[in-house]
Amino acid sequence: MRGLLKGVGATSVAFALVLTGCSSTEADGGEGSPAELVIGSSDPVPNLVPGRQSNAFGLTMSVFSPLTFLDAEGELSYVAAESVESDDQITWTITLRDGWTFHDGTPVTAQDYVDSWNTVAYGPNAFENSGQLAVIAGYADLNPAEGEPATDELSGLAVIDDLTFSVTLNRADSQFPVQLSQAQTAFYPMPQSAFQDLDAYGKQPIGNGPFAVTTRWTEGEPIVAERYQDYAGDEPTVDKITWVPYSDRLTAYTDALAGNVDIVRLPANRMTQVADDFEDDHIYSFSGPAISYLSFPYWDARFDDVRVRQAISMAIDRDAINEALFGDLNAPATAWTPSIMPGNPDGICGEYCEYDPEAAAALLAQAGGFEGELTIHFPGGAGQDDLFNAIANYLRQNLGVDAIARPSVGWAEFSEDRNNKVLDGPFFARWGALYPSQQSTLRAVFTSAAGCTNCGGVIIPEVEQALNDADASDSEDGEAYAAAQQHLAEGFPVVPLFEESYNFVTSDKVAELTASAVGEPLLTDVILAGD
Amino acid sequence: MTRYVSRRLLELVIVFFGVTFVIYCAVFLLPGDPIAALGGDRPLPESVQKQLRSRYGLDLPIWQQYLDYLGGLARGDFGTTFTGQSVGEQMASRWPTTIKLALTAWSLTVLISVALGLAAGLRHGSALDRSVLLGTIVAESVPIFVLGIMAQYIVGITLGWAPIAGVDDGWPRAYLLPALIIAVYGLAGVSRLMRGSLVDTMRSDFVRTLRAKGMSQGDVVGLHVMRNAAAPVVNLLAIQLGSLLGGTVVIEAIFNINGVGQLLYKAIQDQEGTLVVGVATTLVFIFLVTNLLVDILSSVLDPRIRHD
Amino acid sequence: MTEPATVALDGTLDRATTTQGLWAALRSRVQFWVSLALLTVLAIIAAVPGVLAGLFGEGDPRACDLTASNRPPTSGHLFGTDVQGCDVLANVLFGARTSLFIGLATTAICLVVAVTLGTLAGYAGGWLDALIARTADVVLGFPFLLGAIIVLNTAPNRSPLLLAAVLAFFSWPTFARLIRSSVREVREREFVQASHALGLSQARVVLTHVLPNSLAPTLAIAATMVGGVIGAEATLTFLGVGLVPPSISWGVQLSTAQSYFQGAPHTVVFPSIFLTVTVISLIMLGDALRDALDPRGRT
Repeated sequence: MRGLLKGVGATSVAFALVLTGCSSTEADGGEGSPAELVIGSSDPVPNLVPGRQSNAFGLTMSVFSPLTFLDAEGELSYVAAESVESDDQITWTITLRDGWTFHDGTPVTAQDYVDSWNTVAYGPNAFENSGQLAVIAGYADLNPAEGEPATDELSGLAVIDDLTFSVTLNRADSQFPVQLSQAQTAFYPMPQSAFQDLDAYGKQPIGNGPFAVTTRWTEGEPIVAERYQDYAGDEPTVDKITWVPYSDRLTAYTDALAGNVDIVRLPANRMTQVADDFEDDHIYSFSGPAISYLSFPYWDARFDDVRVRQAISMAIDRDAINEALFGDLNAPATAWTPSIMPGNPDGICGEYCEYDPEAAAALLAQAGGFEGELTIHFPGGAGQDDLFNAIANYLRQNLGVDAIARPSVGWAEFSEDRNNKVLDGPFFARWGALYPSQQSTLRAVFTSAAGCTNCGGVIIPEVEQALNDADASDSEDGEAYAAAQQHLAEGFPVVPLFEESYNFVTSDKVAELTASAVGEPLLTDVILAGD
Repeated sequence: MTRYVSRRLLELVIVFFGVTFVIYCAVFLLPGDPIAALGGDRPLPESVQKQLRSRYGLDLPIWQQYLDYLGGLARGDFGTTFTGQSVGEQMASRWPTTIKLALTAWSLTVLISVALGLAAGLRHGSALDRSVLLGTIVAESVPIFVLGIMAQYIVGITLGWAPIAGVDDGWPRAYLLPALIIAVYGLAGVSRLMRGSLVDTMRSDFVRTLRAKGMSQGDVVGLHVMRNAAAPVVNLLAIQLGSLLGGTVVIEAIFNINGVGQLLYKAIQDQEGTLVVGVATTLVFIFLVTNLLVDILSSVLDPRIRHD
Repeated sequence: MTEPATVALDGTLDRATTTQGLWAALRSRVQFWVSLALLTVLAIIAAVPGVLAGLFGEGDPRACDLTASNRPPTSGHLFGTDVQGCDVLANVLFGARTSLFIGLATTAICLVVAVTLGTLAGYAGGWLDALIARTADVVLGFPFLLGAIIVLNTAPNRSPLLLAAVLAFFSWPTFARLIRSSVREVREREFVQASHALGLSQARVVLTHVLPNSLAPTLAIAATMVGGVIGAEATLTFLGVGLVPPSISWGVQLSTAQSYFQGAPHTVVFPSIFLTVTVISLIMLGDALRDALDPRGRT
């Protein structure tokens, strides 16, 4: 046993040595060639097939090039497509640019697009993003309510020649060219090799974009993409991008503080802290096409009276919440879609979106008050606790109702309870649009179209009608959709809360991040320091 | 001894099936719909959800799902997640990390608490003794996430002494700080046991006799105290394995370590049934085997504990 | 100091375990009185938190002003305000009630179960021992987080009592095993063997000799448990399955405040101080009890 004791002593010394070893070496900061970027990605990446990814927008948008592109001002331009045209807003002709190749060297053809879209839309494949193609004629045939589909091709797609194909929609939709833009990844093309083994393709996608994925992705390992030399579009500003996976945004942020990562998303609970942690020019706040709501259980009669819903809206001090919890990075909502949307009717919510506790209490009293406990439901584990506790505090203190905020375990419990109409109080709702058009948000939340189930309250028929009218119009300024919001302002089915910003922090290596219309920075356009 | 071990092995098998079935049912009884949640706040089309439900057998009765799962297990197939990833692959990539972390934490617990326990016991009643007792307890009373986040901030960011996220720096550099935090929560119990055993032994008649015969204090401690303390300490350490693995859930999240703790936590949140059952089952299995080994070891260390 | 075996045989061991003996042993200890004083203060706080908080400023922990979010201590708010602009002092005082309740209730439930099962297993041995040991294995092997999430989420309301029950359910095996092994060890000692030889009944031997001897090491660790439980409650909240507002506990405070600890350290520091003081006083009480119960520990 003497030997054992000595052993213990020796190991302690070794341990002490290791510790001092730690203290003598500095944590290594930026290294390597300046044209490399390290991105902290904190969302799980189960599959990189563009029709399936739901969390890897930055990567997919770097490895693939969209048909059309929307910049931060909402200007539409063409990338892989030369033109997208229609006379009736129903049948669209897409002409591809010549000379484009996939990373495996094969040319990008109209047939590739048609095959890719058919694959994404085919029901039995169960691709997560297939809903983006629901506007195309024949989508329903590939996704029958019962049984196997009789066909695996969308009837609305037809190849005209190598570089031209036509798309027939279910009904007129003036926003189709906008829907083809960068964040609607279901519209990206896949090469013929992809269809033989979609699982393998999902681990190392071959795209038509400026960057090629160089390693097969493995769980928990970084993903690396390098500049594709034969890329036919605009040259990217960087040579190599590495996405390092993090368990959550806060961890990625913390590692950015230590200087180990170049671009990370700002976590919600660091919004008030970020100004102390990072220099001003390392913080980027891009207006996103996302908006949050407080929705009501329309199956609960206590919320039937529009005055109850308006009173709740007026009892919430959005400015104070924005300052205290969001570091003023978000913006209080004044309409039912974010102001980044073209033609957005800013301020249409009027006095009901402004904080006025006395008027709110009076309005609730007029409506006959509120009976029982008011429980606000929100999905737990998503960093929303402070927001909903603040809202509960306002309702309790300003309206005198017994308001509490209750988080669920996660999305699974929350969405089931919402879909099955068992939530017994106002609840969280949010829509992050993938293309900046009021259409995207209004259709998903306030119509019977498959989108956010039960998020928009009772469906107001006038809203649906106004949307259909706007879809058929050929106006491009988006004003046509404002009419639908007029009906929302009158019916007040949900409380608009905040327009979201998508926020990022960068290392010293990054001189400038460029925004795009979907809130994500353009990784291909990052301007590096010292360039 | 052979009979004892074979009986324990049989019990182990029964416990194994019992636990997996309980976990299996529990996960599938959790409130919520994992398929509906796959898309987060941008829900999947109804047809896609229906397709996925039948692909993963969620439309079958639970006993059939369990039998199918066992069947797959017998073929060495842990199944796939709802996003189509192989559970076996995920576990294979994550278990080594967690095992390294846990073993590092475990070793640190033993080293530090034996040292503290001996120091406190030898100077029984002194200021050192009292501060060891109090210090370990106070450290343990701080919630692990508070300690973890503060250590990460102070040691990792302000002082820059240790990496604060990920394990890219390899063992031991990347593992020491997180392992140390986990180890803190085992110190109090083990060092107290060690100290108590030391004090008891030093007072016993036979030690006084030995010392009267001229045996040095070092020899007494080495020979008798360590031997007496070994069995209960090993026992306690085995018990702590559970809380150790629990600690890794929080610490892995804070230090961005891609281990099974993170995997399990995320899987529970997303209700990835097969993943939860796979990870939990391996956890239970490791726990049971360790305990069996410890029971055998402690009967070797302390002949007074007989297994008959 | 006397050897346990001889003490037991002449009956003096039992002296310490009688109330009178215990009291005599306790009252001479400084740490007993200090811890008792601290715990009394905490008990008063837990009994009338609103009145006490009102003396220092804001008496209502749920009177919050978001425009005064995360303010450092001032005269109206001695401990400052938290992220919601609620008074930290009022929350800490109200939190004492919940946190103390969870810590003590968990330990109590856990000890009752563990002492019963551990003694049974250790003393009876045989199939009963195997059954209890395997049950303990299952509970210990069952991932705590998973179990806690399931139980806590199938229940409509996460009350402090439910949380205590869940924490206790996953903690008893540790103690049961400790008690079992120490009971087994005591059982083998000469004095117990001797008691058997003298013809004392099984129950009598267990209650008068085996249990008191096994209890001391258990109490020492049980004392450490209370703090661990209060911390565990906070960790469960951190993981999203613990108490949620409007419940007020130190755990809820800490898990909310940890996001803001750089900008508003006071929101972490004050609940932590109360938590630590509570734990230390419980430990001191536990130590005093342990020394008094265990004659070998006396000097």
